[in-house]
Order: sequence, then structure tokens, then C-alpha cells
Amino acid sequence: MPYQISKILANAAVSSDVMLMRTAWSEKPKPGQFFMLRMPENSPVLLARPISVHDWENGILSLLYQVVGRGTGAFSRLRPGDKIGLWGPLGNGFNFPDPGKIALVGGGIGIAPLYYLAKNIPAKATAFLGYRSEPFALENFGGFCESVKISSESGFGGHFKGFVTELLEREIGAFKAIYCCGPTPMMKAAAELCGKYGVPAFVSLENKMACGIGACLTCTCANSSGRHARTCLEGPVFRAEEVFFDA
Amino acid sequence: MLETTINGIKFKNPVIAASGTFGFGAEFSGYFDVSLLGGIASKGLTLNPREGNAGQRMLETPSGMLNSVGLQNPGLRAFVAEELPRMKKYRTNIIANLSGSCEGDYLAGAEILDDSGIDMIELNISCPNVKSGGMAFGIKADVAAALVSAVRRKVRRKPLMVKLSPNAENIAEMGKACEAAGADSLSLVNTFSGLAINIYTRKPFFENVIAGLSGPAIKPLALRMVRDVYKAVKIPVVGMGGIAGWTDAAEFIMAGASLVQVGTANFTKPDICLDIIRGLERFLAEQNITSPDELRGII
Ligand SMILES: Cc1cc2nc3c(=O)[nH]c(=O)nc-3n(C[C@H](O)[C@H](O)[C@H](O)COP(=O)(O)OP(=O)(O)OC[C@H]3O[C@@H](n4cnc5c(N)ncnc54)[C@H](O)[C@@H]3O)c2cc1C
Ligand SMILES: Cc1cc2nc3c(=O)[nH]c(=O)nc-3n(C[C@H](O)[C@H](O)[C@H](O)COP(=O)(O)O)c2cc1C
Ligand code: FES
Repeated sequence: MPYQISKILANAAVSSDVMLMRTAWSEKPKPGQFFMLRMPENSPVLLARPISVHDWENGILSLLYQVVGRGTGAFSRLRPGDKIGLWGPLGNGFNFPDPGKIALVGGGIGIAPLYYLAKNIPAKATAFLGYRSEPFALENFGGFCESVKISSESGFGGHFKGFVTELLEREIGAFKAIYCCGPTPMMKAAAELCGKYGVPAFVSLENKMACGIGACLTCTCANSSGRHARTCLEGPVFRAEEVFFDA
Repeated sequence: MLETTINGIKFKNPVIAASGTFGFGAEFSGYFDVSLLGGIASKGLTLNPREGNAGQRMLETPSGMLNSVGLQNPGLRAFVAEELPRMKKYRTNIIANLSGSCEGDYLAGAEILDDSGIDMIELNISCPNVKSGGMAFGIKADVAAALVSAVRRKVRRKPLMVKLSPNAENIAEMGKACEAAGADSLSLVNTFSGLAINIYTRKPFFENVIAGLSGPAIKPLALRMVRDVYKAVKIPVVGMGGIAGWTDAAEFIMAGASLVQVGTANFTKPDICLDIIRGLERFLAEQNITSPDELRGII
């Protein structure tokens, strides 16, 4: 679909630094796809920012984003009725050919695309969600997952104190595949775990992007074939063994 | 109304998508009809395929961006065999951006392009020259002129446009030297050499240390250089650097540009070139001007 300027329907905090934005988008995206979001005219923020589909229902697109810098900071100050520019849906998204038992492994804001995946996956998945401290945006995972396991590095609210990969390792043998999104060290740890137990893993990368459509070649990641793949086009979801996490 | 001819090539309007910012055109075809463009400049092409630079490749800066892509491209033979037939389906001029790291590669590349179906060659002299310790060909006028005249001898059929680096020691002298060496036209500017530092790791942000600055931040500098070069040479000048809307394009034409190129702005809105074409059309109509020729170089 062409570039669109869309009205913001809601944009509110769900935790101290995470916001949920809703805006209109008529076509249904695939889980794991993302949009490029751009501040309206005359903003000092030049480039658009890639944000995953957190949910889509009846023409309403939901985006869950963490305020980390200039771009997301500017988004956080938009109010209902303000305009935002966007294009998408972009990227390959998650493919789920196997009907077997699947684990969704999210770290921090990486849980954003996993919710829409949980909702659209043929069989109910098990979610492993890892947080620094207080969990956010949990509400609906339960309804679409067989079970939801939570970890918190600070042990907030009595949740499992530690990394989400520790929770995953306890049960990893039960899964046919894992789908993972989060900070690079966490995805690397999850990928190593999957390698150790022989479980296929798919990771969604969050490289810096300028165009989002395969033209600028700034988002590339080194892969095992020695090539630089475009994260926005060939990804953002890759088989974990194809990705060089340290490159 | 916007039609402009340079080097015997007719452009239906003066707006060209700049090299490295528009892929091979197909990436944008879902967002607007790219046949409406005056032209498309391909990604920088080298004789052999290149995977480009490792590490981070992009950083947004105030009103601009730094990039360190490092000429990732499929190589000239794959371009001619695979990308060009697709690009030829668009009813617009195809400009091949020829890059290289030594004279031999440029010359072999020039021969391939001269025999191909492209409309024009844009010789990118901002590339590091392996032989002189990585200093770009486009810094010293005598180095650039030697390359341009060697390439000129290989390019017999296609117009040869030389793309100048704003990092040249003296941009007007550089323009004159390239003209004397046989360039049919000049385009400018490429990106400015820039640096960013991660203060916590105490390392350069980019593995290559230096990166190229583009976007609105460079516009006043680029505009001044286009005027300097326009006044120094007789061949047509193609202007670019930070064009983000039709008013910027009109400024470049008034500074002397026959055509303009739009780069970084394509990343901010995939169909921005169309906005710029429409805006220029409206402006000319409002001002009762029948051709951009009436505005060219009036400053
Ligand atoms: C496909 C994809 C999907 C994504 N989905 C989501 C999503 O659903 N939700 C979400 O919240 N995010 C998502 N992201 C990440 C999101 O795009 C980025 O967080 C966002 O672009 C940051 O923009 P910003 O301007 O706010 O931050 P920036 O200003 O770009 O900074 C981001 C971070 O980098 C650091 N940084 C900046 N410059 C430097 C420097 N020179 N040295 C060291 N550190 C530096 C900053 O301190 C900051 O912590 C996604 C990314 C991709 C690629
Ligand atoms: C990501 C990126 C890649 C580029 N790649 C090339 C290239 O391959 N060859 C070239 O001649 N110029 C390249 N350029 C430079 C642009 O074509 C243009 O000269 C420059 O960005 C200034 O224009 P702008 O401010 O409108 O972007 C690139 C620019 C960017 C931002
Ligand atoms: S963001 Fe431009 S190629 Fe991926």
C-alpha cells in the first residue's frame, strides 16, 4: 500500500517507558512484519523508525514501542487526533509451517511482535517473556497462549528472578521451534540454547534502518553465507543459525 | 513544461532519484509510478560484486544522516544481465553510477556500460583510490582529471557525467579540470566526509571511522558549490544535496542546475520525488514560466 498519513487514535503509556499507539490501517499485516513510522511535516526528526505490528484488528493497527531516543521520544508526545506518516507492512514476517508445539521467546520490548504472532499462530504456543523489572503489556498473551512464563531480572512481583533463557532451558525439549525477539545478547543466548538442543530457532533482528524497503543497504546483517542480507527485506526474521550475532 | 535536455538526452522533468538511495527502482515501484521520474541513478556499481562494509552503516544526525554502506552492489555484469532489463521497463532515463577502487576497474566497467542499454554514465569519483592510500579520486583535480580522461577514451557512445565530491580541495577547479578532461556534464554533490564517536566505548561509531553525511544539513553547502561550479564551467550541471521538497529543487535550478537529484529524502517518504515534480509544475504555472530554462543560473 502507498505511503499514508494516518490519524492517531490512541497513544498512551503502558509502563514507565513503553507506549501503545493505535492508528488506522486497512490491510491485515502478517505477524513479524513492521511499519516505518515517520513524524509529520516539520519535525526535527528526519528519518522514519521501524516498529513491529503488535496487533491488528478490524483496520486498527497497534504499535507497542519503548521510548529510547529522539524518534521514539517524538512519537511519545503525539496525541490522539495528531497525524503520523507510515508505510508498510514490511519484511518477511514469521512463517509457521509446522503445526507442532512452538515457544515464543521475548525480551523486553521484543515481546511486541510476539503478541500478534501468538494471536495468529495455528496452534496455541507457550510464551516465555523476559523483563528487566516490571512486566508490561501482558494482558492478552494468556488468552492466545497455552501458558505464559515470565522472568524478571530484578525478580519484580515474585516473578522468576533471572533471564528468560533460563526458563526456556527447563522446557526446551518440548518444542518443535522457537520464535524469538529481543536484545541481541538475549537472542544470541536463545539461539545457542536451541543449537545445543537441536531445536530450530527463528530470530527477529532490530537493525537500524533508513528506508525499510530494501533500497539504502544500511540495515544489513552478516549471514553465514558471507553475504550482507537486508534486514528489512530478507528479514527481519532469520533462521538463527544464519545470523552472526557478533558482526 | 518541465522537459529538459542535456547531453542530447531528453528528461521529461528535471528530477532524478540519486544513486544509492533508490536501489534499482523496483523497491519504490509499489509506492508510485517510477516512470514519472526524469531519471533513476543506479546504486554505485563496481566491476566485481561487493558486500560492503561491516558493522553499523547508518546514524541519524541533526537534519541529516551518516552512512557507511561501502558500495555493496552485485557487480556490473550482474547489473547489466539482471537489473538493467527490469529497469528498462520503466519509461525513464537510466543512469548507471560507475564506481571503482583503481583505474583498471573503472575502465573495464566503462567498457561494459558503454555497450549496454543504459542512457548515461555517472562517474562516481568519491571512491577511495587504493593506489594512493585510500584518498578519494575526487579530492585532487589532477588525479580526478587523469581518471576522467582515461574513462572518456573508453566511453564513446554514452554521455559521461562526472559526479563530484564536496570534499574536493577546490570545487570550481575540480569542475573545470573534469570538463577539460572530457566530461559531458557534472553532478554534485556526493556526501561530505563526517565522523561520529561513541563516547562510552571511546570508539568511532563506524568501523570505517569516516562516513558520508547527506540530507537537509548539507543543503546550503551543496547549493553554494553548485553555483560555484555552474559559474566555472560551460557543460550542464546536475545539482543535489539535501533536497527535501520542491522549493529546494527550485533553489538548485536558480543556482545553475539543469537537473536535480533527490537522495536521502527518498527514505523519509517513498514517493517524495513525485511531490517534488508536482510542486515544480505548480510553481512554474503560478509564475507563468514555460520552462525551467528561465530560472537556471539566475543567482
Ligand atoms: C524490524 C524492526 C522492528 C522493530 N520493532 C519495534 C517495536 O515494535 N517496538 C520498539 O519499541 N522498537 C522496535 N524496534 C526498534 C526501534 O526501531 C528503535 O528503538 C528506534 O528506531 C529508536 O529510535 P530513536 O530515535 O528513539 O532512538 P535513537 O536516537 O536512534 O537511539 C536508539 C538507542 O541507540 C543509542 N544510540 C544512539 N546513538 C548512539 C551512538 N552514537 N553511540 C551509542 N549509542 C547510540 C541511544 O542511546 C538509544 O538508546 C524495531 C526495529 C526493527 C528493525
Ligand atoms: C545510503 C546512501 C548511499 C549512497 N550511495 C551512493 C553511491 O553508491 N554512489 C554515489 O555516487 N552516491 C551515493 N550516495 C550519495 C547520494 O547519491 C547523494 O549524492 C548524497 O546523498 C547527497 O544528496 P542527498 O542529501 O539528497 O542525499 C549515497 C547516499 C546515501 C545516503
Ligand atoms: S532499511 Fe534500507 S535497505 Fe533495509
